[in-house]
Amino acid sequence: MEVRRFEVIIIGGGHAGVEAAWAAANLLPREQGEPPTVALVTSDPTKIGVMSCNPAIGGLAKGQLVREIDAMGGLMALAADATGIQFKVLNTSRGAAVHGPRAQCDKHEYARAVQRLIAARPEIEVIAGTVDGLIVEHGRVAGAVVGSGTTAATLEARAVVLTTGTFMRGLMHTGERRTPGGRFGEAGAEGISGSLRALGFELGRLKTGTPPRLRRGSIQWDSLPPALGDERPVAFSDLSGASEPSTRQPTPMPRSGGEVAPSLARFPVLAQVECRETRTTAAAHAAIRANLHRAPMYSGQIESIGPRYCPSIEDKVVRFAERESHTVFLEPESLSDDWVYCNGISTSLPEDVQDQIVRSMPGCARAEVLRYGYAVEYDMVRPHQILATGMTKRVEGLFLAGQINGTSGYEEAAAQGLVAGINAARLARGEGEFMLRRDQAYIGVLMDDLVTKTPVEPYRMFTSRAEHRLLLRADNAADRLTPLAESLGLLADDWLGAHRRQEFARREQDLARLRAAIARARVDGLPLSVAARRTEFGMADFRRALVGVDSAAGGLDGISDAIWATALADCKYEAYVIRQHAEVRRAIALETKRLPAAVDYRAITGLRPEARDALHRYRPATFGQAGRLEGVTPADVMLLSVVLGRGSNGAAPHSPGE
Amino acid sequence: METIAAIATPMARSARAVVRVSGDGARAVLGAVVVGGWAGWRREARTARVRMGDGLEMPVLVATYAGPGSYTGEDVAEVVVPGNPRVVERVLGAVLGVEGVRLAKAGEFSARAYARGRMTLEEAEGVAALIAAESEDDVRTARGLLSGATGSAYRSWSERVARVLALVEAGIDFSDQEDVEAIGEEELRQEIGEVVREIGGHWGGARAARSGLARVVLAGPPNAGKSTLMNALLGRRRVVESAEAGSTRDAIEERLELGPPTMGAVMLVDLPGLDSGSGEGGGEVSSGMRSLAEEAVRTADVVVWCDAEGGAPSVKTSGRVVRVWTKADRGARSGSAARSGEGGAIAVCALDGRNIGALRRAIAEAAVGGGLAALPRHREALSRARSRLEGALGEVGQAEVVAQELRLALDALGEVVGRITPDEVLGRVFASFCVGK
Repeated sequence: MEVRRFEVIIIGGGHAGVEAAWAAANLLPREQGEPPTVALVTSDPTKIGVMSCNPAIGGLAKGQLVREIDAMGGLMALAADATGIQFKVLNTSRGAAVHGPRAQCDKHEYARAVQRLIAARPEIEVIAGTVDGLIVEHGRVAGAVVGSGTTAATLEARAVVLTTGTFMRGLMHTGERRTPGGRFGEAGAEGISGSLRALGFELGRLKTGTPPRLRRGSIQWDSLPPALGDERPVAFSDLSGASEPSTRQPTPMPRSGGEVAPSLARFPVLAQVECRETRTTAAAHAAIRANLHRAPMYSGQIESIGPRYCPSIEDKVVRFAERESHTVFLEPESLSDDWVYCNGISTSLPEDVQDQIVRSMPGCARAEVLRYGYAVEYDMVRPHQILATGMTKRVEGLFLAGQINGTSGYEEAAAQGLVAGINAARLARGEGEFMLRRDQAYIGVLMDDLVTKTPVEPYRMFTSRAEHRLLLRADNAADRLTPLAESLGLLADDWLGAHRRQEFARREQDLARLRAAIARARVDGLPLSVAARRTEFGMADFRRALVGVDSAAGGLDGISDAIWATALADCKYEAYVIRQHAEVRRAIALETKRLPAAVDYRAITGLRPEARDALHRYRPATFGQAGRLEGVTPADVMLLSVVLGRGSNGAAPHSPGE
Repeated sequence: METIAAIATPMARSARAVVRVSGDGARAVLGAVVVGGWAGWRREARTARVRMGDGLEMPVLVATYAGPGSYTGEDVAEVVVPGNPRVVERVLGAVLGVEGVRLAKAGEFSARAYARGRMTLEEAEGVAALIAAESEDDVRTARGLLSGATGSAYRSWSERVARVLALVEAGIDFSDQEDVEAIGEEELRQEIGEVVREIGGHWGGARAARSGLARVVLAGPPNAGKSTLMNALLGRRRVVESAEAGSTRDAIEERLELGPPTMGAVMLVDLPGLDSGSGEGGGEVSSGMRSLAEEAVRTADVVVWCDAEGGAPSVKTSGRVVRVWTKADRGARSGSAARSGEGGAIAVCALDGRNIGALRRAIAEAAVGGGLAALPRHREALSRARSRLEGALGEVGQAEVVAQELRLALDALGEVVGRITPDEVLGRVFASFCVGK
């Protein structure tokens, strides 16, 4: 059997897997004449980066995640910017802290863009095959077996990132019909569940669903009201269209990544499309009610729990029985085909009922269903078994990311992939773990929530989950995270890394210039930063107040809209930001203080039984995590700090931002 | 580390009591509460005068210990005051009024001492046991108090804040959803304003910052038998009784367990007679006590007005009044009705215990029925909740800022009635709106 050696193995080519591979590649450069450092194993390389459900990236809270991934040198924003066909910032009627950039992408182009980016990395070798099992020796991962029989190969590595998505014992449902597999037309992964179970992992099962797709030509498109994107599309990445061609020096590309360069030069790259709005009708609701016994969610065929925030149309009709109609957005999936995504009617009802639902929608009387909606059930590993680094507590070197941890969404998956990829590479290099705190990034909130909460449904990010929401804005993601990414080594020594460094340096200079001017400007006798806090004080007022304010750096020309937006938002939230930073500073000592891994919580007298049980099950890594467990009170944490206090002054996790 | 403060000696009458402050802010605290400020910071003890609010001052001894050579390993200040709980509490109140200082939690000084390596493991185990016991006691007491009217008031505020927060969050996190409409500014103002008013009305604005149990003050003319009544209520001889008028010179405080059904406790205060003129005692501390006595009646949560004639109170108070006709056995009026005389004074006899049970119930009714914050940490939490809600009122136009303030208010209320987590708030959104395109 062939044996290959890598630094890190990534299993799965979805949004978690590619981000993990990308981050690991950034940290594990391939030396001249040496083999690739990162293996990306997937059963079908042509499906890398595929958008299984809605071909959209970002949205409320998810947009912040994408911006953070970009600030950390990730790939998701680059792919989305290069392939977006409608860009829209959500929540613009609210403050900057809750603006959520979103883009619909051309689903074929998106997957191709991801595949091109991966292919451009000499550090990554894509290996086609199904993982048959993990190799674990003395509680440490040593590699994975790919394929079986004569084609089997052994891949060795100190770190393995497992991203199974919906494929682990995946089972699809459409009405009474059940088909094994993780995505339409693709087989599931059967062996890996047993492998994890044999290692002692506690598995769970979740459900998600997708709506039917229609042929655009069969819809009376022009009869329906349009849903438009922003007039001036805003990119996710600071690199997209950020520089005027005249000032950008075409840094020679050392590698074959030349194909991505044109996508950065102009933005948006692709033609922009309109969506259409339609709705379900009373007739459709009646058909759903009459066929509920055939719905897998109601017949008992599916017992796993689906997300409350993304209910199927049958769920909506049952739970909100008083409503006679629900809005449905018809979103083109690509410029190169005529598939239309029906946003709002995710369903696993039988095909004949789906036909009735679709054809009762205005404009869709003769609509042709190209693919019926379905639900998919899949295995996941209960996430109390991982650390906030993504590594499992049970097996050193084994990392989990994405839906396997009970989350939902491309962005949530990518964020975990980034964290797992960084930590896998650091482990391979013999370096300490890396974690983001809740006050540093939504990514930190996500990882912390995973390791301190019992998931009841697929986890999705919301801005309300972040107690430091006013600090974690989409616009300031680079300010928060790019210096950290630089110190971790995530900005690779290639064209992209150089470009990001240059853009960020310029951003910092421009921000400093603007802030110096703000410090001198006054409005109605008040300092500008105070006057700007008024709700009605907008960007026009802000710019006006700075007209004529002389700047040592030579005026405020050439400062981008993005920089202006950050400067204004900083003023708006200044008072709250100061308070939140003070809270963070107060809490940080206990928050990051390590709990020893080998504590026997059942032996600590004084802990209440529910606190003891929670601590025993979750085995939190820090006092901060302990305090967020359900059933653990501040008095319990204080008791712990007394009992364990001085014995556990372990090193704080690696956090170069400190 | 946050600066913490608490009474470091048992809460009862004693010669001296100590208010301890620990943390980086200890110096700033002295600077703020000591008349004329505080200069220097070394290990020393010197006399000073501290401000107690309402223009009152008290001569005290102040001891300072610079970290790391102190008990906790941090900067520590100890204010030694006359061991009168009323005085002690006012000094603590003044200390807690300094920005950035909060009430210490059970065992917190010791926990800090341990964390800073100022204690052995054996000592630390003792501290751990203490924390467990004290927090358990705290929980039990809170549970008892919260089963009554006070508890339902707290829960109602918590629920209402959670409901408004859910509506605000829905307008932020689900603004792209078909049927989610953001809560209007008018409704927001009204809902939050109502809770703010109710919290404020709960125990009166001026008393909001004060810590301690509901205060039940025994007051009345000298020699009305207040001390005898106090002993009868407590069921033990706590106060020296004398037939001579003016035998009680200082205020004396004792915790009174109210028993079923409220299971609450109040702080029972015995005061010197109020119209005894200025001849009593003399000297700085005693004249300070006199004005404190008047102040105590004025701001009491409940005044038990004791009068051998069953007469009406002769002093002003913002609290509820329970009138007692003391020495009922000697009185000219006859009959054993619990309430007789003008305005329904309760006729009690401390000697034979007549109607003491009825008086105890009347006190419980007045204290708990008045919905009083019973524990210091409840008062602190409520006061924090209220200022966060006021913060939200000041920013109704900015949903994300309102949400931030409501979250903090909800967390503060949650310290009393149980936390409502962000997940639960999201659950309310999912339950009331059809979200999910």
